[in-house]
Amino acid sequence: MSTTKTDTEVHSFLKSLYKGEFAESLVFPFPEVPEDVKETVTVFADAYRDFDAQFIDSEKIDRDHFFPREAIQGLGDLGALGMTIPEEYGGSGFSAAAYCKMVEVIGPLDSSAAIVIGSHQSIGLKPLLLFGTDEQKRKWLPDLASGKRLAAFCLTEPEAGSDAASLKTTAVYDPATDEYVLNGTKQWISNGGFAKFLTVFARIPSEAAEKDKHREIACFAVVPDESGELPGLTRGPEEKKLGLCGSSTCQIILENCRVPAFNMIGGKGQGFRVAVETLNTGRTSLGAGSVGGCKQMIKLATEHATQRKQFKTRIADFELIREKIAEMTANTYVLESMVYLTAGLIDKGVPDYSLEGACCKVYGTELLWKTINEALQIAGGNGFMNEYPYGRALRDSRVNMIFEGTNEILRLYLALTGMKEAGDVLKGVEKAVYSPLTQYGVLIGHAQKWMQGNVPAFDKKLQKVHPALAPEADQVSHYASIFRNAVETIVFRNGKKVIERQYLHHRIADTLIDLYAQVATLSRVTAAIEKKGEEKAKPEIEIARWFCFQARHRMVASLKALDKNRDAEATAISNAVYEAGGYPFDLWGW
Amino acid sequence: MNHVVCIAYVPDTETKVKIGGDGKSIDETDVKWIVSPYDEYALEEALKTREAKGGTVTVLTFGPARADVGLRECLARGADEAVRIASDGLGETDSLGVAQLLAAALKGMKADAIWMGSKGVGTDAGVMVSMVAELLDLPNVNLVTKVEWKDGAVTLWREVEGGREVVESPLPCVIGAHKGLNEPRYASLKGIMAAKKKVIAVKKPADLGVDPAGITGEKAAVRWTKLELPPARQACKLIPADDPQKAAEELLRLLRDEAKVL
Ligand SMILES: Cc1cc2nc3c(=O)[nH]c(=O)nc-3n(C[C@H](O)[C@H](O)[C@H](O)COP(=O)(O)OP(=O)(O)OC[C@H]3O[C@@H](n4cnc5c(N)ncnc54)[C@H](O)[C@@H]3O)c2cc1C
Repeated sequence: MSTTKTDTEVHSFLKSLYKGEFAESLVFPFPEVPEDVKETVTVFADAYRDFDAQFIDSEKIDRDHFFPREAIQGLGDLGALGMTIPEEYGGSGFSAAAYCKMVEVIGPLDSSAAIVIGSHQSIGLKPLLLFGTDEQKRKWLPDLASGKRLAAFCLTEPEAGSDAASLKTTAVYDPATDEYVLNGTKQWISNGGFAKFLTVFARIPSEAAEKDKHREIACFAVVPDESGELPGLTRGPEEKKLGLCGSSTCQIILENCRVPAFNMIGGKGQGFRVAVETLNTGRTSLGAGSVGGCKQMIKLATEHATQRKQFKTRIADFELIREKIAEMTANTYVLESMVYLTAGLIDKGVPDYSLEGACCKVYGTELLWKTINEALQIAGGNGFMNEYPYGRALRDSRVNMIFEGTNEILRLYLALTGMKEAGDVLKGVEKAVYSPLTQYGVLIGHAQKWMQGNVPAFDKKLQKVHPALAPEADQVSHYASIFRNAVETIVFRNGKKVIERQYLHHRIADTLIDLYAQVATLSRVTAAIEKKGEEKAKPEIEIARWFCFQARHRMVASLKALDKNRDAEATAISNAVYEAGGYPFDLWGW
Repeated sequence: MNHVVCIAYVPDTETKVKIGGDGKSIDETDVKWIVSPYDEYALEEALKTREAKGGTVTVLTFGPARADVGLRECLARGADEAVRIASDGLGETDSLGVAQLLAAALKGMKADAIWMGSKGVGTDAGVMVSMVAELLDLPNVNLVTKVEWKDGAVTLWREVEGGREVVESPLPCVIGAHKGLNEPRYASLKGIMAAKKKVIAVKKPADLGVDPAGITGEKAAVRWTKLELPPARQACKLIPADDPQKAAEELLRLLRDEAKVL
């Protein structure tokens, strides 16, 4: 038992936290990006900005609902489509930190371009990158790196959204030609209109896998010819969308579409894993895009607030405006810390950063939405006018909370993964519960520890935080311990039913996000103090204090509500609504 | 054909310039540095010519270690080699001092065409093209907006007051590139990665046979003695125009008594 535990401890910071450990060596010191990488990215970011200024007219793209094809070729020539592909396959082999920084730049310049680039390399070609054989990589990656072929990730179906494992597209093997024959419809596929490399997830019906439907799924590279044609492959009409209007989103319809067996990526029965891992690795970059968007909004809000006068005063000087600016800025700092800490974990080779990536995605996409909303509010009536960028920013950012795993699904994932970890620790105890006579000792021991409030001994403290932030470090240690015990209690109380307790999952996930956010911030500010001294790092210390204070209130509220809540009422209210088919309480009885 | 492009790494035109503590230099703390935009036209034309006719493009600069970033950017756009004459620890010199260093380096480089921007956006002195040409005893043509190559010669269009002048020059010669010559390309990521692997040759003035003592300090013919920012713009004064007669009188009074322009 101890060996597997040690592995997990080293493999994931948040999973280890659920197990009652701070794997502090993973998150301290805050990752430094080598100077030469910074230099490369700085030069490339400048080149990208110039390119954007000359070739990408975001207003026109939004108006015309069309992203110019020459611009896609331009992105390829520039190298923006091969950032994450290793050099040996024709790309540039960017580290996660370097890629995140570029996404930060690209997102706010034009979000449709960000989707073209992101769907291509964050998800579309990722299965090949993660699971392809060397032969497959040699065959396709160079064209993907140059932009000759754009990739799309085809998982969602009309009947299979969040529950992707229920997908219906089939792949039937034809031994005569050593091909698979694909049938099915994929829904809302980004880059779908022009992708020439589609990673399609389909089910190979088999009796053996009857019990475990996940095990039927496989991933296939569907590769049309240079003009984008392939017998059996049809692209649906472009969807009319709320935002990201220039990005292509359409159905991919497969009717007896034949794909060589060679094109299977990751092997039989591995498709679901391929999809999940692809999405897990891609999520951090959505957080990075949010960092970029938030910074842009802070700039706009600052410009407006310091220039606009009402009541003979800069509105910037009113405390209600200060509050917004401080909140936007501190939270953005926190998000930036989370994203680059996670990128650092990836670059260090830490194999499991799925929880950390999910934290970045959920926190980041929701922060961006709030930040745009606040910046718009500071702009007043102008914020509502289409000649200002707020409206488009709101529309474009909305989908971030829906795709690559809805934020609800990710919260469940954050909470349930933790419960599984807690459950594993509890297994010994659980056994004892069911056979109390033989395992009596274990049970008593556990109960005793529990009474002492340190089950099973989470008395670890964050050791590496700078003393200037000692109260904050103690707070994180303290709540991490309470949190961990609370999770265990819930698992203990609910048993298998815990899977259905989503009210609780919500609170657990939010607390986990707050814990990671605080650890990331403390790590970064500690590095800042060590580098430039306490005096110069003062603004950052203030951010850490401000944020940890806010986080504490949220954590306390969430943790308390795990025990005392009105969840039963929430169930009752929603039941009443479902029965009535809508709002049942109209004041006049209408 | 071999090209050498002399570049200057200068403060970004959008930088808010701050004056240093000594009152005669720029405070460099928050300065963003860029390859001078006119030099970009020069580099682009050299690259285009190389692509059409073969040969090499070398970029040359005089500057401190940070200028390597600018040289790498040029390598990323496609230059083959880069040379930096190190200014580190040299002390202040003037345009003529820089021209002497560049000329000394160029002597050993066998260039068919020597390129520069018509001026650098840093000091805007606009003298480098003619100084370097003079020191090398080569013809020079500045403010060039179009180029046509011939055998052993080149036809150049240059902007002059109210028109264009077409001149022909034998090679080698020194050409000053001007706005309108071309549209500079962007560095591609591939180029940036390839540039990272190239070695920048760094030369000390002494390696080129130039005695630093002869071009710095008191020996520099032109020295910065004082730098001043333009005065901050004053707020507009609005004269209420309810009564045109009174407004006109007030305007007259202000122009005479306050602005003292009448
Ligand atoms: C612009 C755009 C681009 C897209 N690009 C791609 C792409 O390139 N490739 C691709 O494969 N897909 C793509 N998608 C699809 C996207 O990933 C799905 O929309 C998403 O996974 C959600 O699925 P759904 O829309 O079917 O919603 P549903 O799964 O039906 O969910 C509806 C609501 O129910 C909630 N919900 C669902 N299950 C649970 C549960 N167990 N517990 C609690 N709440 C739950 C959800 O959070 C959501 O709020 C794209 C979508 C859009 C809008």
